[in-house]
Amino acid sequence: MRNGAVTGWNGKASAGRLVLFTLLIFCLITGALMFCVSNIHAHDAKPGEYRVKAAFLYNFLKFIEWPANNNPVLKICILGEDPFGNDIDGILNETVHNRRLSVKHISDYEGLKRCNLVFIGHAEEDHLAEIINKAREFDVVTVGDTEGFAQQGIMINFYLRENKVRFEINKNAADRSGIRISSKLLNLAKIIGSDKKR
Amino acid sequence: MKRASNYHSILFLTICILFLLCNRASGHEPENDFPERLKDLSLEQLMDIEVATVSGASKYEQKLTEAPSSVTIITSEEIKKYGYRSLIDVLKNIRSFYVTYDRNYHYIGVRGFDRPGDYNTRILLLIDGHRVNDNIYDSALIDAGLNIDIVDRIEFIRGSGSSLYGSNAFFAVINIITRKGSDLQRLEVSGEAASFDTYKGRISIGKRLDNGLDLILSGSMRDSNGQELFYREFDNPNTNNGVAEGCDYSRDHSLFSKISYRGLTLEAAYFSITKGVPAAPYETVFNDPRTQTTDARGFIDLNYSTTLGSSSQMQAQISYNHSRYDGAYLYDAPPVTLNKDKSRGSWWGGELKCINKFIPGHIITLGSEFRNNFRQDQKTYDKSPYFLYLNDKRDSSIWAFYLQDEVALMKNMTLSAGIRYDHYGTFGGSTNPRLAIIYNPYPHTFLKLIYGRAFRAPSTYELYYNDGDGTIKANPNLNPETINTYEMVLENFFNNNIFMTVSGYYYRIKNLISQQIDSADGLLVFRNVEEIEAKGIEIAMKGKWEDLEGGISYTLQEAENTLTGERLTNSPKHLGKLNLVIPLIREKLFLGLEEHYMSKRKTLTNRYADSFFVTNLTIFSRNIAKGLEISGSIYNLFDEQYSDPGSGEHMQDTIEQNGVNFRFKVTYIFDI
Repeated sequence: MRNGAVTGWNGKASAGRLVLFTLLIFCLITGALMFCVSNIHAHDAKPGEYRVKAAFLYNFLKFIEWPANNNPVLKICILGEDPFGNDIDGILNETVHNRRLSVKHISDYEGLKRCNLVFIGHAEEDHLAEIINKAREFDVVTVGDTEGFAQQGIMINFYLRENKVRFEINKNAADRSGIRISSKLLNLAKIIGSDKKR
Repeated sequence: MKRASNYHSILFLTICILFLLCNRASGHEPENDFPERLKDLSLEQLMDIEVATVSGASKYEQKLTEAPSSVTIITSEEIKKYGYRSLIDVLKNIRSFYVTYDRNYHYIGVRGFDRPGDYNTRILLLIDGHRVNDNIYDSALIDAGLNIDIVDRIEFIRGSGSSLYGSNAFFAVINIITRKGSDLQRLEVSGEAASFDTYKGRISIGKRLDNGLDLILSGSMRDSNGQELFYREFDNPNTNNGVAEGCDYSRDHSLFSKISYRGLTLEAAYFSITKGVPAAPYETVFNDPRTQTTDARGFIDLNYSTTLGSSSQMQAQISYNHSRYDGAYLYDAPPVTLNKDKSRGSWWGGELKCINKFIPGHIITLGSEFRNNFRQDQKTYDKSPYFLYLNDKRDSSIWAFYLQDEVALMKNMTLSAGIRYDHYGTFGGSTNPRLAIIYNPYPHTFLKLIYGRAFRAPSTYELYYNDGDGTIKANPNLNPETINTYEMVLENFFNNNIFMTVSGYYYRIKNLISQQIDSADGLLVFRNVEEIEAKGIEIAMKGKWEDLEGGISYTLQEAENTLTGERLTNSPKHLGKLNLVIPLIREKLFLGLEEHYMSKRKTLTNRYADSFFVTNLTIFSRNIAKGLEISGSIYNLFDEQYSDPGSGEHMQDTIEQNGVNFRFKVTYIFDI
């Protein structure tokens, strides 16, 4: 049992508690109202991470050149687990340099043959070396969004800084394949060197 | 007590109503506006958009669901928003865990087990994978540690982990993962002022250089005068009428540095705490601030990680460690004598681990570890008149091998089988297996069936501590404690943002080391004498919903001594935890609320420490002024009076815990 004289809550205990309690309920109600009100302003809401990344992929295609290719279709492949889902629909059937954009999911590395750009999910981390080799064989741009991917040889890797999407480019990886990345893209990226000499 | 629980009922009701209200108020699909607009934006414009990210739980979805255990991860964001001051505050909010405090040390309870007087020996505490438990008491020190602001996340891995980690991974493994220079990229200066004359300061700096060198450096100090405390058991004119003045002080500091380059990491840490002991245990003189304990730990760890070819990973680690304990206890023999109790532990160790994938469908981990405890000294003496009770110097070594295979049995079923053999110079060897089946019937649903055995080697203290056979004698023949744990865990992710788990466990402990009185000579001695059986069921939900984030968990647990059939002391049957973060101004101002409930616990005298509810509230703000983070917290908001059971060395049956107290914190951030 606590001696009131020692701790100073003597006599004022119940009044103090009531005040604090009321303050808490007030804070909760204010908070809830503010947050409800803010939800009504739909245009203030933030777009999903992958919706924005899909828009980035569309933009990357504008600033990348592949070795001679007459294919009327520009194919974005998603390897393995798909974090985009419906978020990629926004860029389907758009046109870049007179070529139509299509999106395909692949689970087999041989499927990279028909891709122009491949997005590699986190789950593929263990097979990165194999994927990168295959991608280089077919001149496919490799894109990821897992920490450390750029250092391991992925050409473009997304990362978040203060909830905004950024990307880093492994220039060596791009140079080693037949891909040409425009300086416009390079200037906006963080340039990364490879961890290993292959 | 009654009035407080009325408040709590109204509080719960209010939260529920608000939840429902907000659900109805926001039924919009704001994202319909975006697809058309986003792709028309330029790269620069895209880079300026703030995105809604995946919540803490699902960011680590793979970590949580692939692990052959039930894991909880707490992130640095949660640490800020709930106003956690240290690992102790975090533990109070984690499902399965609870904390007991005797005004000297904090003790971790897990799955219904927190025996009064024990030293946190059945939890393995790691910092970035590095063992923190010392080599004298084998205890996980949580009263001192790294400053929580440089922690990136804390992983709580429940279950028997000896098949990978060896001794002390008995009930759980807690891994504190520190931030990297690349996460910081700035200088942080932080100051706190809190109740009971408590002040804390920290400076941290972190940066990743262009050549890839990652560096982080941090130092912090905390000083608290503590409170004047009243103990009814000492309410007597010759013991200051039960009031302990100036005895609840604590001073701690910590230093941390981590440098990494490519796969090489050098990490050095030091932390220490000095605490006054107001509850006068061990029949020490009441109300004398000279009775105090100091605990310090330090280590340097060099770690190298690399890939070998395309299917193997190797990790090599070597470290040097030191632990220090200095206790000063004032006794009135007569005359009033200062007794010094010290321990010094030093060890160096290394570990080599290889993860191979050259057999398709198998992930094989092979590892070996060794520790050379080249110093394990315990000394006890009276200062004046000088009398030496104990001057024990030991050394020992441990080596171990472990093997684990994760096999994909079918497309959606994995078997994880592991085994580790530890050899101790003291008692010989211990072999501990773990078997887990992880079944993934639907994309985001996981069912885990786990069996694991773990052990706890007798500590140097239990083996050799004695006071010249005055009251306590050594027992070098102690054997390790063993535990067999069976768990069934169901985990489910909804909508990428909400994580739900239902789990059940059963464990049996054999050869529990307990202190007894030898009838032959009346001396205290540690023996392998007890057997414990426990079972429990837990439900938890955690995640992000609209803009709210939070979690709720409930544990029902029963632990008993199989030889006597009695429920364990300090073991609550029910644990309930609720936490919620409400953003008041998006990305800038947050309200963090925590509710803890613990049901009554038996004390050593077969009475009960009453059940209680504690509410904590934190308002956290970021960038209201550029580069400033400010937070105000109220802990135990409704001034709930509650107590924890004392241990054998206390006169007090229960020890009262803190009433309402506050903290104000400011952090300045300078980008570099």
